[in-house]
Amino acid sequence: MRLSLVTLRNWKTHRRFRLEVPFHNDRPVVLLEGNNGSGKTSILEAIVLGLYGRAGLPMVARANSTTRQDRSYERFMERALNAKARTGRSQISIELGFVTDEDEILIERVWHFKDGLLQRDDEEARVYTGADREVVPLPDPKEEERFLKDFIAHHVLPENLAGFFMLDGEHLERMASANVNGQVKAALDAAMGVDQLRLVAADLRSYARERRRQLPEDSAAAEAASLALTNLERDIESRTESADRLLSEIIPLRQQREDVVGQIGSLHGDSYRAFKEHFEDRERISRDRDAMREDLRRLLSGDLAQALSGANVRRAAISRIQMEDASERKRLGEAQNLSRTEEFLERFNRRVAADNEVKGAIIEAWQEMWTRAGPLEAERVFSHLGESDRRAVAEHLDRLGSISATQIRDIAHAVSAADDRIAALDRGLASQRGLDEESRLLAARLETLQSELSRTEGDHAREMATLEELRERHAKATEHLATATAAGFNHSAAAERTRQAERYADLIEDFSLQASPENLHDLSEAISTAYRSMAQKSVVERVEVNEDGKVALLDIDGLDLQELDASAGESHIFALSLMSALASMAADFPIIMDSPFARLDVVHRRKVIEHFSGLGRQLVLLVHPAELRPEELDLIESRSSGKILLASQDTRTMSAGATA
Amino acid sequence: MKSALLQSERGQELLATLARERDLDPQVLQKLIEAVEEHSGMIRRRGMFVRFDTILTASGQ
Repeated sequence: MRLSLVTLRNWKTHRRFRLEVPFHNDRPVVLLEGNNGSGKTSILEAIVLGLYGRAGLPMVARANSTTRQDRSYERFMERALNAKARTGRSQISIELGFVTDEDEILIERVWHFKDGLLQRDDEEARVYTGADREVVPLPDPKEEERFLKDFIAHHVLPENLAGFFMLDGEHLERMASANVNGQVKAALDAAMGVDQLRLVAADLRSYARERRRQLPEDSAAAEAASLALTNLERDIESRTESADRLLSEIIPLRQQREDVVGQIGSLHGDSYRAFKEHFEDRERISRDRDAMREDLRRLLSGDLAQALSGANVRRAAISRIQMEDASERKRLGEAQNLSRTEEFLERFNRRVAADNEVKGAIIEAWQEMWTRAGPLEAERVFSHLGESDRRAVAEHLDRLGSISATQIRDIAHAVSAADDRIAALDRGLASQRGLDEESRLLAARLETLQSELSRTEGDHAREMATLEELRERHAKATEHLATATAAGFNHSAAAERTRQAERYADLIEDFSLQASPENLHDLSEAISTAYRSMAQKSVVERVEVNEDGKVALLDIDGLDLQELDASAGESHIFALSLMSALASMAADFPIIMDSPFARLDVVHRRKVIEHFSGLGRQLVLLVHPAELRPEELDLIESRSSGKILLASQDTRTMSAGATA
Repeated sequence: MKSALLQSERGQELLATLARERDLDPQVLQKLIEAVEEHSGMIRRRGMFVRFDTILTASGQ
């Protein structure tokens, strides 16, 4: 893309200004030269304001250098109005033309004034495309600013990238002196278009929400059932993997335990068999004891409270759930049948010709039959439960009736008895292990193995118990989905689209997260290349940017040179390198610089000119004649498709080689 | 203006890999992104959601 046209009216010192920007592929530089007050910076400001309107104000250096009151958009525009246009009704207009390989775009903004005061509601903007300047229709005024922002972001340059393509010396000064780390991360996200991708993901999710909201309720139920089933399947897969992993740890542990038991047995000859039998008894009783402890824990922490609430409370809850379940099924049936009222009437008419009075009576009777209000229409206590959940809760409450204090006491006694038996077996095992050093070491090893094995087997048992429960719920959820799907069959396609939209939104977000770090490498390389190209000293071997956007300027030994004080010139070179790298990665837009050479010495200026004029894109330079030495001007002109001299006059039309 | 992440070769390869893992079609994603770009600056949701309907319906066939 290149800048092809700038037209200004009553903009600052430019009463009438028209610049047809020259361009040749082999000579990408355009030089605008002018003394102080000739309007160089005003041209850059006009391009920024023309593209972004009010949103462009923070990018304009001079707007930020005045008092707070004067920094307002209105005051800035009023100061921008040419002095000769401050009486009566007048306008500022800025027209910008851009050319790409496929298209031409013209953006025009007009601000209206009365006696020098900005008329806020009279700000206009128009966009034209194509060689024939076809008007792009704008939406209603409320949407207009957003339309322009989006259109320019997608067809010209997003606002958050503008600072890397258009800058003046003051902006460069700020970039060089500010915390560069914070800039790099935000700049990289902007350059990589992360915000654009987030917008796409957000749009897809909005779409899914909107479409889901439009689904009939029975389809929403099927959708919810499908989602619940998917979540259950995901849980089952995860628990199965966990159980398999635990089992893979258990098997070698058991083998190691067998080996140690064998070694202990071999030390004690004939008593090995007794030792092994004791050990296996101990393990069996220990496993049974752990299972009973788990049952006791579950009873005490969960079901006991509900069991102790009393049979009356449980029966009342079960009854309520059953009534709400019946009411819900009836309501779904009503909806289905009411929607078939017309069909019923048509079938009736085929058999018996009915007059309007009869038809009306039939419809009333049909509706009356299906819309009898139940006692629960006004209030639902368990509205948060789906159909399968209602049944599961009712069954669970019913089972609780069989839990008694006696049962809990018996389990507790059994656990205690198991503990005593295990302790006795431990004493017996200890007496068989022997007192010599080798026996003690083997015994200690066995104890460690057994402890680890018990813990792992316990974890495995819990995973298997959870898996069993999940599989039961999966079976019920499958049944529920089949019921809901049969009801929502006609809307399954719409429901599928909402799921797909969310999956694509997930894909975009994962892609953004994973792709960004990979581009850091490219950015680091690009900054390094640009820096080495423009810096006089070759002390910097490479530039590295990490995932947090932290920048390191590394010498050949890997030392971060930012630890040392950098000169202002070196900081400017780094800022220019960052700008060059991001511009090359981010967008096809010309680079426009206003007096970028003030802080640079002779050698650096030459290097900067060579670097930026060799980037393969249009470079618009606004310079003061004294800013460059004759040989530097010659270098620029050798790569330039046109040189324009600016002066403060009322009416000018500029093209290549023109002099104001 | 397309995201630079999507324009690089590496970005395209990563997207294809992630899409395959999720049993999704990267070309459908490109169409969805193009739909958002083409509807930029318009009253977004009105035409764009209908466009999403079309793209996602076609992808399911």
